[in-house]
Amino acid sequence: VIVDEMELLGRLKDTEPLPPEVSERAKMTLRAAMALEGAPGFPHPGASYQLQPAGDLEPAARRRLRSRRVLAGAAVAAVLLGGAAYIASRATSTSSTPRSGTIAYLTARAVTAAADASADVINARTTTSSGSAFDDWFGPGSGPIRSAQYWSYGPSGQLESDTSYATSSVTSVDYLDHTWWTVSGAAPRPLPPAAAAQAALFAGSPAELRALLQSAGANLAPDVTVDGQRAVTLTTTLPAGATLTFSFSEQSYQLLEVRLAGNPRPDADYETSYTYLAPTTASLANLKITIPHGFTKVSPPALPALNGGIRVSG
Amino acid sequence: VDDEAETRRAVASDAELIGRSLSGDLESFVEVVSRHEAAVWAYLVRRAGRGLAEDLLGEVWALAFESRGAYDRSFPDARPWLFGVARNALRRHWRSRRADHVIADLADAPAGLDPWPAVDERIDGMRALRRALAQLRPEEREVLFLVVWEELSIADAARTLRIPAGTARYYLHRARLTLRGAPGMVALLTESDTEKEKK
Repeated sequence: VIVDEMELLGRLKDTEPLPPEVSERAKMTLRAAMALEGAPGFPHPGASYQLQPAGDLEPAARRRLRSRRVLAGAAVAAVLLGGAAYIASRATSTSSTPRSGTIAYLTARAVTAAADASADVINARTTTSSGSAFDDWFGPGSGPIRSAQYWSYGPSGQLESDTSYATSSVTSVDYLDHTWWTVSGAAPRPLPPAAAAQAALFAGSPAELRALLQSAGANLAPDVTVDGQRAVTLTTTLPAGATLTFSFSEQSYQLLEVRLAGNPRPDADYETSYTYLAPTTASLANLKITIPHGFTKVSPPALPALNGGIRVSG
Repeated sequence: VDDEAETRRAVASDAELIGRSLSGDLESFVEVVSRHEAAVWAYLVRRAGRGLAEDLLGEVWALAFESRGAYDRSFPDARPWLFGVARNALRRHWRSRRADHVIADLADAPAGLDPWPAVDERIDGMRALRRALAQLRPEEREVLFLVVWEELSIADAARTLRIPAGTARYYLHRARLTLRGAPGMVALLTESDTEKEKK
């Protein structure tokens, strides 16, 4: 009998075509990794805008109010961004991590779930230990860059400002001063970098999540209840001693909550809860900003560079 | 932008595209991925099944992108390297599974245990061949599949596994000998031969 066993084995080879949607989703993960490499650091939208207040004509009271809000936002952003950068660097430098538990499995599932959620409208509701709260809405889109709307509430609960980051413009309403402003630019990218980075950071881009979850020394805790849902939590310690905890749905592996606790700055702790909504008329309406009747249009504050050639229309 | 994409497509060598991506033209790496995504997808599906392959494909691209600095650009074709990255992604996945579900590592597989469920399912109708494959050492089987299923040369299979080409050749030789001598294989091959004669 002269038969080639390799030919026999070759008959077992079957080829399944790569589905276009799988190809696209995988490339989205790649592009998120690229975005991470290309964006070493970025400001929180709220912080970056409020840190550059409008001109000298602003009333002192307005500046004080803003500065309190800015400090809280900036502190949160600084700790968060520093932590993310640190974790990302650790994850990059330890390519074989992690070995223990099911962290790698959780990472793979969570990254896939994040990619799957790219067509959703995502609401990220953040409360800080300083008393401020943020209600962020991320619109559906391809890749980590999404339209976003940023709201902030004061410690007493009233709406302070409402800012929309659209494709090539930023519009903000100041509920304390009853004013609003807008800037627009012929942006080569869909969104200003800050808003895009914000979306990538908070809405769970696959690469960002992967870098965060694969950080060395992370601890996994299954069977936790978060907002009434069964969850898996993963906790990692940041350089300053604060702990960053991610909670994922046990069922869908979607990110449910991110919590920063134990920060040396007591007003810098925060907790963000995520909700995923199908892109319906009702959910998409949350992305639209409303300028209340009677509010006065003013010149925008001095902004950090948005895409270089920004055009300001006050 | 279209001109740039056209230029990337016209670049013959994967190595050159990877070099360009290291110089800041990140889209060049997407072109490398586009060239090999069908092959890497097939590699994953054959070893892990479609569901897990869907989960891991993006992971493979991200891992490859992050490690592209270590790519040896004296090799113009990146496919064996990408298979190696995919293999590492699979190993990491299997390591991360619970101990009572899967083995910790392919190298630690006890004799007769096949951690590749997709392979099992596909060859259920050919138990003799399955048993014969189970007798192979993991590296022997991997070389065999890389050559037969992924259609790599022995040298490229060696690149994928990061072993000397001579070693890969030896593994392939051993694998073929083992298959030929395994119980039930003679009948299977005879039947196969008869089928061929019918045609």
